[in-house]
Amino acid sequence: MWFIGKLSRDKRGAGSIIGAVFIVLILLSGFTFYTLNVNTTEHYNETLDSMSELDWNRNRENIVIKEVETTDENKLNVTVENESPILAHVILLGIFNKTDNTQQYSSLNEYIEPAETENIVSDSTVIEGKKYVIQLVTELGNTIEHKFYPASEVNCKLTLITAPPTAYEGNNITVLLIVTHNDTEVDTIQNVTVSLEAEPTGLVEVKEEPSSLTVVGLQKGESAFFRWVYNTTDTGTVTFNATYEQAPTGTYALSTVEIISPLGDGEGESKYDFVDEEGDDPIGSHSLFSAQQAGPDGIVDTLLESNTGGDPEEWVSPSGYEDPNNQWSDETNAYDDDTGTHAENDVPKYRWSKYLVLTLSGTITCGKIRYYIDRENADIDQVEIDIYDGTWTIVYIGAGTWNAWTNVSFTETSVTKMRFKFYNENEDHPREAFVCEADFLQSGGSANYELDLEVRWTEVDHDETNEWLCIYGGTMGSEDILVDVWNGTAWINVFTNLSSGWNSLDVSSYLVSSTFTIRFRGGTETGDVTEDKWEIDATFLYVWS
Amino acid sequence: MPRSFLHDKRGVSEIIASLMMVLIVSVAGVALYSYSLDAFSSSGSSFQLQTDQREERARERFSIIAVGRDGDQLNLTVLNYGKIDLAIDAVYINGTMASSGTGITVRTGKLVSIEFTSPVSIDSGQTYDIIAVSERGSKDVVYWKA
Repeated sequence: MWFIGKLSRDKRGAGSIIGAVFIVLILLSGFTFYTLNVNTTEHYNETLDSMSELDWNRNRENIVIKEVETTDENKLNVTVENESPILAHVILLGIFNKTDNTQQYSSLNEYIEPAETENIVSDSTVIEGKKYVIQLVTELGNTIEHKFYPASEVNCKLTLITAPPTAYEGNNITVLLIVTHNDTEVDTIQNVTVSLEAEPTGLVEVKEEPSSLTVVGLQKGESAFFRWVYNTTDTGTVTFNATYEQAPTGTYALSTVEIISPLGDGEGESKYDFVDEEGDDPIGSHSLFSAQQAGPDGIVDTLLESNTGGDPEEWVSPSGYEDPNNQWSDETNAYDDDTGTHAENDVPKYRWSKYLVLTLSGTITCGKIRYYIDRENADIDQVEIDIYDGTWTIVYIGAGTWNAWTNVSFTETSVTKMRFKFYNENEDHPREAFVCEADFLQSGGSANYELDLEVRWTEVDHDETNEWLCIYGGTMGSEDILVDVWNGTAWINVFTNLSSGWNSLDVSSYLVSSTFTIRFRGGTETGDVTEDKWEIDATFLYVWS
Repeated sequence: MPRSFLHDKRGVSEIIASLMMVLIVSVAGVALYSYSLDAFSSSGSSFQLQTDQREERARERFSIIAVGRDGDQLNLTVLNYGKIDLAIDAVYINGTMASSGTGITVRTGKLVSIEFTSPVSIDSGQTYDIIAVSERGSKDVVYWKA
């Protein structure tokens, strides 16, 4: 009975235990699968992070093809710069021949550090005159393309400048050609060979020409400059025509220069009569008057204003001395213009020295003096300086500056003397004080810069129908420069301000005799404190009927 | 005098009931456990498969880096810069699928050329949308001027 009862009690719990075991098993299975899923998700997220980083780096990567040229072996030399903050790994170089419609890739293994520039030379060769697109491919999937085209595919901007626009026979013409690669699609032009022709051919001959007419690897936005110098051999109009080899139709630049004879031959012909001589009573100066008698040729006469105002201020040394108490020695050393010598005084202990008075021979207007003083030691600790303009006035008292030129300013007045005294603070011993040098600053008058320069023609042809005054200006000062003509009784202003280049005017109403005079004047003749200058290249009368 | 064990019938039904209960619980437990294992396994496998597919697609990167042309014959140069090999499944020109040039495998870090006849007429100077689609569903689009 006991066993049966126990067994029955145990069987009642067995079902619960078995059920619980299965529930635990199910939960364990669920947890296991949950863990597996979490691991899978984590791995997936890690992959996403890794690929996001790749995309991020790809977006940041930025390499630029700076230059493309062909080597002597006709291989491509590609200059690449890494403008990104990360290391770039270039794995492929693509060369697309757009003329023959072929393409080829070659493997690379070029690592380019940030801000580093690398040159990559292709294994294969290219043929000049064919259109190429260069492509670089990075490990991160970025591609950079560069169009490397012949000149025949590009409309370059041509700028042709000739100077001067009018040249005298025998003078030179400078021709400047600027070729600008302003095409928006093509990155580099393989080479540009320019040419320049002058029509008609008999008027000019080449004197200087560029060392090379070809520029290789002209980059987008770059310009190439070419310069010629031609000598004019005959009169007429010459037209310069510049272009480059294989230029697209309509790509050229023209510039025209008129070549004229410097002097006419006689009656009924035009005549250029350069100015003959300088006039009287000049205010200001010519640097090279003869420059006005030829040209324009770049050789100029610079007209310079002169100062008609007061003298400039200057330092004046004393001319004498006074030693009222006869305490100083070697007094003249105080104004011998030598700071290595001095007047000296043994200053009694604990008191001021007697004065050393430095005098002028006359009266000057002065608002500043300067001194150079020395001492035995620092016991001499004060100096007093006075000036005399009828009464003594202290202009400085204090610790002083020693062994150096020092200025002392004061209200400008009429001065005849200055004086010095020193203080010895030592209670037991006298000490020496020295005056090495002292000067008065004589005030100057206000400057006033003026220009009034006459130039004259003698034996000028004055009975022609047309009589023009022609002046070729160079670099002009900021102040206006006027030109007046003398009509026999008065000065008549004809130019209110000359400009650079040609200034021409009909003066037939003033040119009534064989002598003709003009004058150059500054635009500001009073209170002008600035010295101006103006360049005149040529001055002549052009007369014809 | 107590009766012998063999002849004592008291409590027999209770034992049988207990044994039957144990049997029922065991059978039910095994069935439930089997079902749950199957459900967990099925769900887990499905999740694993989906995640693997998504992960592979996430590792896939490619780019059409050049387009060549000879009449209506086009030549796409495709670079695989991802972390997994891929295969080009389809190419579309202006939304029309090309009938050839598909199924080409591109190994990671490598280039392939895909040549096919354009399903639309190619005119010089015109711009075309070219889309390459991988077998995993990634795509790259270029706007190409003929």
